[in-house]
Amino acid sequence: MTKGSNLGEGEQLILLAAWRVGEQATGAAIREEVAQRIGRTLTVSSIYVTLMRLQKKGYAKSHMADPTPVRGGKARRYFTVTEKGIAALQDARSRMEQMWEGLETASDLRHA
Amino acid sequence: MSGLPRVPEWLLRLLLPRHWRESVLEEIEQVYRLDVELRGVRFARRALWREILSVQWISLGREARRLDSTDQSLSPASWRTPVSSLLRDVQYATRVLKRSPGFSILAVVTLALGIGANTAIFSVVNGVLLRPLPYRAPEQLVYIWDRLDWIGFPRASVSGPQIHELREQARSFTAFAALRTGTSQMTGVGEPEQVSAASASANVFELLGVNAVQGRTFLAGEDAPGAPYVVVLSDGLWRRRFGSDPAVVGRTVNLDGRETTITGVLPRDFDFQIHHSLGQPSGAEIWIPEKADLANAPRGQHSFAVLARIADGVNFDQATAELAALGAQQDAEWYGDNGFTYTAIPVQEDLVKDVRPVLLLLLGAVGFLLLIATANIATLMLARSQLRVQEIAVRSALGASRSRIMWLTFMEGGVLAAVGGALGFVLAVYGLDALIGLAPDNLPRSRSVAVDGHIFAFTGSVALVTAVLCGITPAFQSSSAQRGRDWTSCANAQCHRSGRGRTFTGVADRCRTLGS
Repeated sequence: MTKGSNLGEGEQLILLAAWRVGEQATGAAIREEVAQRIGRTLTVSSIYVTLMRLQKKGYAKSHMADPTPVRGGKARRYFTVTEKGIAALQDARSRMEQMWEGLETASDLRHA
Repeated sequence: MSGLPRVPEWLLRLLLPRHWRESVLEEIEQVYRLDVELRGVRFARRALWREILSVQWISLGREARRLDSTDQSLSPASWRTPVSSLLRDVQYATRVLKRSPGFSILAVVTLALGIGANTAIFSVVNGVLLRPLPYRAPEQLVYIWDRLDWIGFPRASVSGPQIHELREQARSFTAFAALRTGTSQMTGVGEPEQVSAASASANVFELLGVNAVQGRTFLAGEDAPGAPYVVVLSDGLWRRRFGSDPAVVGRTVNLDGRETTITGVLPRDFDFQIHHSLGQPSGAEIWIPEKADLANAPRGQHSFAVLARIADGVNFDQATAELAALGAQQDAEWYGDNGFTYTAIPVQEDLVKDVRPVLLLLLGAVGFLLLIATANIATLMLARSQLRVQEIAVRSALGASRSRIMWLTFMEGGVLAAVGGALGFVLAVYGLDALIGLAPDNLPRSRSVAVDGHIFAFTGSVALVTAVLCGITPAFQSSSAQRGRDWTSCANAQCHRSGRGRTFTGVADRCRTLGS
């Protein structure tokens, strides 16, 4: 059995949030997406640390966009999930599903 | 200028790697704005501080370094933060000091002893002289004494009628309480025992702003002649004689043959010292209401200490001016114009007046000791910088600026002082109990002596000053090394030492060739 993508929970969360946000995936937008969906307010630093790690692994990439056309507007960094990142997410999910197979609910764990 | 509060923004700029600084800052600002809009300012501020205090900054710097190392367009400095640069310099200084373990250990131990002694003595000064008394608005509390200079009593106790008149006439004060101390024979709870007792006006606890932790203190009127006998216990006596009985309130105890009802227990940290016209202040294990008929007591019987609270909006000078005027009236009426007056002394000042000079002298002495130790370390560092003249010359030839060399030498003093300060702090914390044990019994407020944030700040400041004093002279010395002149000695010295030295000289030679 190969080692596979080995995405941690935080990495999966952030990659999925970045994918959901799409083209406008800044650190702030990813944080808001996670907060809206599961009620966890991550710090920007933790999001950046994770995204940097994911970039290094090739699961995400980033680019600096032009400054926003407002007074004092600054350049922003946008993140994109790569094909390799999507494959890693699918791999992580399928591994989890294999582990859950035959267990319909969490309560099954207690009665198994 | 971003929309973030100024201090958090400044801290974030310190923590963020240079190459990522603006984009991450922009994100945090955006998040802050969004939080203010959706979740309120309070949440936004809390989230912002959580962001700053997050340990993720260390990981962020590391990940940025890993990621940027693949980008050839970025210089190694791009992932550095001011904090990471400082850490790098600390690491360098530590490496240099490790090369001379004998010197480093000697310096650290010397500084630890010096800083530890200063911290320990300052802890006592802080607890005894500086820390405010643990009562409501302690700066308003004063003791009032009779001044009978013509018979040799510049500080005499006050008589009952005088207290009565002060209550009637003085407008600069909100309350006066009569106090006196003695002992009381306690029976009915185990073995009979003489306990130290304070007898005080019923308003004394209200005047101090102290409440009982169990039951209550005195009620108005409980100090009237004929009122039922009640007692308030100190925490110490409650624990010692009553076994910390939670149902002690309402029990009776026999005091000097009178059945007396326990109405309350005082807080554990209540350590009010009652002053006397002569001798040292003393505490009390039980507090009972003073039932003397003050207005009709003999005028010549000066038997009370008087605790008073200055009214809000009245300063000490105004209060003492009114007391002087009242004293002048009494002088004419009762003391035959002999110069009677009242004297008011702030409670804290009165409490520590005898020990203040001794403690300050001791603090000065240990401060001087540290100064000598620091001077010795600085001299040793100066001698070491003479031995390292080759290294410094190579550094400057390789492009290190004068300020950079000064900074690196200064950091060595900083590391020594930081380690010495940390060890000194630990020494002071563990040595404080022993120091208090050695202090004379009459040291007031010894229970207030403790290590707190002030002590930590003091140790930090002393260590910082020590670092400056230790590092500044060697830093100037090392920076003034004549670069060109030292090349020859540098090259010669290095090539005679080892293979490593020859490589070093080779690098130096190449640099010299390039520079010429």
